Amino acid sequence: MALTEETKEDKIEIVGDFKHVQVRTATVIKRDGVEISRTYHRHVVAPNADITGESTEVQAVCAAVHTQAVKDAYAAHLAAQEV
Amino acid sequence: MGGYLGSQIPSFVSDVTSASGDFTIGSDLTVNSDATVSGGIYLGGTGSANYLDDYEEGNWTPVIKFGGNSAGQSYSANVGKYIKVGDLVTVFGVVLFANKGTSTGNVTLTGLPFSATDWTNVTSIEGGTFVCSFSSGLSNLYNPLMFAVVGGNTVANAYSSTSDGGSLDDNVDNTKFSNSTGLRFSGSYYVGPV
Repeated sequence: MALTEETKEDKIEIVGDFKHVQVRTATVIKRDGVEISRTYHRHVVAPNADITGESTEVQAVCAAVHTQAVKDAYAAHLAAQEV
Repeated sequence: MGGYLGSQIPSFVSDVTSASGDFTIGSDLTVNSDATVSGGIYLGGTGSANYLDDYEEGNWTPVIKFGGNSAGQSYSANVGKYIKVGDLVTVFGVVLFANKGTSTGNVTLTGLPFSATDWTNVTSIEGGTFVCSFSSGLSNLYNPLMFAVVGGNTVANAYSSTSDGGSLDDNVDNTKFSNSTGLRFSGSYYVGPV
């Protein structure tokens, strides 16, 4: 009987006007190659976020969608926050 | 293959595959094992408001920031669970500081598992609120600490009363936290369309 654990980013979504990048990381446990457990961890990358710790794939997505125009719009959105 | 099943529901002892077409079942349906639905389901009606298309549960990592930064911070625990049902996300979180670090400024909760929808222009605080039902190591707060989700964002601002009898919308800053602050909170917010 062989147990293996695999971690992969199985869903990368781009949502909203400010192109937040939602990343789902799946941890999959397999017994003899058959999946017996799958758990998720999620985080979101905002346009103003430090992406140096992200995977190369997420960095590439962020680079594509977090244009200067999006970053500027997001910064304006944050500056305009009112309770 | 399409069909209509009336009062008699056949017992399927093996897989049934429909290449095309719909089944309409005119009686109760009992599934004694798992059901996998690639699309969504309509509950109580057939309009878009009755459509449930997503369920997911998992973990997230709550991080407290002061003035948007977290220099020198460390935790003995910062863990969270989320459950997403349709457009509603419910989160649970535990944050136990070991060292609150040196950053200063207003408190925000970051790391939310989904971006909150900016669904109204009336306010930036869209109504999703997490209440710290149990907390320790906080000072000079006169009501429980609350986190209010900011629309179009992945953070929640911290509010409470910083004076006796004061309103609940006072910003909370780093001076109210200590190296032993512990927070337990839960709440929900909206992530659906505007």
